[in-house]
Amino acid sequence: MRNLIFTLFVLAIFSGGQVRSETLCLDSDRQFTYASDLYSQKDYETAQVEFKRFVRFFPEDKRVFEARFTIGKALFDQGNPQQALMCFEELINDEQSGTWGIESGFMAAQCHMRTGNPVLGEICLKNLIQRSTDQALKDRAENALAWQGLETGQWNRARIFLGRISPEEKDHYKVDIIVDALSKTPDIPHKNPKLAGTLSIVPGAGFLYCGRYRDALVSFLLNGGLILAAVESFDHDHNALGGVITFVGFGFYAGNIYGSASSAHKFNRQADRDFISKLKNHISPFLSMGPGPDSHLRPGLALTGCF
Amino acid sequence: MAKGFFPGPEDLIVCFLLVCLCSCTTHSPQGDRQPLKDLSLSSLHMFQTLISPADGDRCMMLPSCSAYGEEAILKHGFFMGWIMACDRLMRCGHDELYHSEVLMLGGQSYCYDPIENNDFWWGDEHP
Repeated sequence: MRNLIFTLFVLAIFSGGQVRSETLCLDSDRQFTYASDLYSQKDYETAQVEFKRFVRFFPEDKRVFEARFTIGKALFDQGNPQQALMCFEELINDEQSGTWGIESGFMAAQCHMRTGNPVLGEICLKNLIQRSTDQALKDRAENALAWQGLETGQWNRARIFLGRISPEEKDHYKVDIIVDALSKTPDIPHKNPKLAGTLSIVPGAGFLYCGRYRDALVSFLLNGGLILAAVESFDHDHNALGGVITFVGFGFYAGNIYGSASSAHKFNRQADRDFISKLKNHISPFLSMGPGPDSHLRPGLALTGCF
Repeated sequence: MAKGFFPGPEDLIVCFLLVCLCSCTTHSPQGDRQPLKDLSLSSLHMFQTLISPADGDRCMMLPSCSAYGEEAILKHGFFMGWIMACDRLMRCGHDELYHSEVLMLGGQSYCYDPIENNDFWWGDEHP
C-alpha cells in the first residue's frame, strides 16, 4: 500500500507537473510576411517596426531593400513625408538597391510634392531621366512630371512633358485623353481675384462675388458697424475711442479685401483640383508610380495609388 | 476751451490699457524689439491664458483664431498678420465650414484652415 502511494506520488510529479513550452523559430519568410500583412492592414507603425526587425536580423536576405522601401512607404502613408524622404534618399544613394532605388526616386518626388517642394520633386524625376537608359523608365518619369504639372495647375508644363513620352507608350499613359482634357482647361470656372479685391471696397461684395454669402453678410455688418461707430465717436469728441475703433476697423476692412482676394484664389484652386480629380477618375489605372500590391516590380504597370 | 483738449476718463482708460499691454511685451531672443509685433503677440497670449479658458473652447476652426493670428503675425509680421487675423475672424464658423477640410479631434469636428491655405497664392504663378 505504501509502495502504491509512493508510485502514484512520483507519477503525479513527473506527469502533471511537467510544463511544455513552445519554441518559435522565426525565419525570414514568416517575418517578412507578417510585416507585409501589417502594412496591407494599414497598421503602418507596427509594420515599420517589423520591417526594421527584418532588416536587422536578416541583413543578407534579398528582400532587405524591399523592406527598407516599404518602411519609407509606411512613413509616407502614415503622413510623415519628411522621414519617408530620408528613407528613400538612403535607398537612392545605395548603389546595390537596384530597382528599389529607382522606385525610391519616384517616391522621393512624391515626398517633395507633399512637403510643398515641387521643384525638388521635379529635380528627382529629371535625375531619374538623365541617369537611366531604359526608355520605359524615362517615359514613366516624364508621365510623373506631367502629372506633377497637372497637380500644380501648370497645364502648359504638363503638355510639354506629355509630349516627350515615346509614341509606343502614349497609349499606355493615355496621353491623348489627357491632352484632350487639357484643351478644356479654359472652361474651368474661375474667379478673378483682382475683381474680388476691387469689389470688396464695398465690404462683403468680394465675398458675395466668390459665392460666400454668410461671410459677405458678416463682413458688411461688421465693417459697417465699425465705420459708423468710429464716425459717431469722432462726432462726439471721443477721439481716443474713435482712434481705437478706427484701428480695429482698418484691420477688418483690409481683412475684408484680403479675404475676398484669397477666397477667389481658393475657389480657383478647388476648381483646378476638381478638374484633376475628374481626370484621374477617368484614367485612374494609369497614374500609379509605385509598385503594385504583389510587390513584384513592373515599372509603369502598377495599379494602386495616384500621383 | 475746446472740450477735446483735455483727456476724458475714457481716454485715460485707453492709455492705461495700452501702457499695461506695453509693459508685458516680450523680447525676441535676438534682442531686436518690434513693439507692435510684441504688443499684438502679448495681447493674443493674454487672451489665450486669461480670457479663453474662462470663455470656453468655442472656435470651430483649426488652428483656433487666436493661434492663427499668432502664427500669421510671426510669419508675416504685424501688419499682414493683423489683416489676416481679422480676415479669419470674419470667416470663422461661416462659409469656410463648407469649403475647407473637416477634421475630427477628440470627438469634435473642426474646420481645418491653416495659414498655408490662405497665403499660398502670394507670388504664385497661376496658369
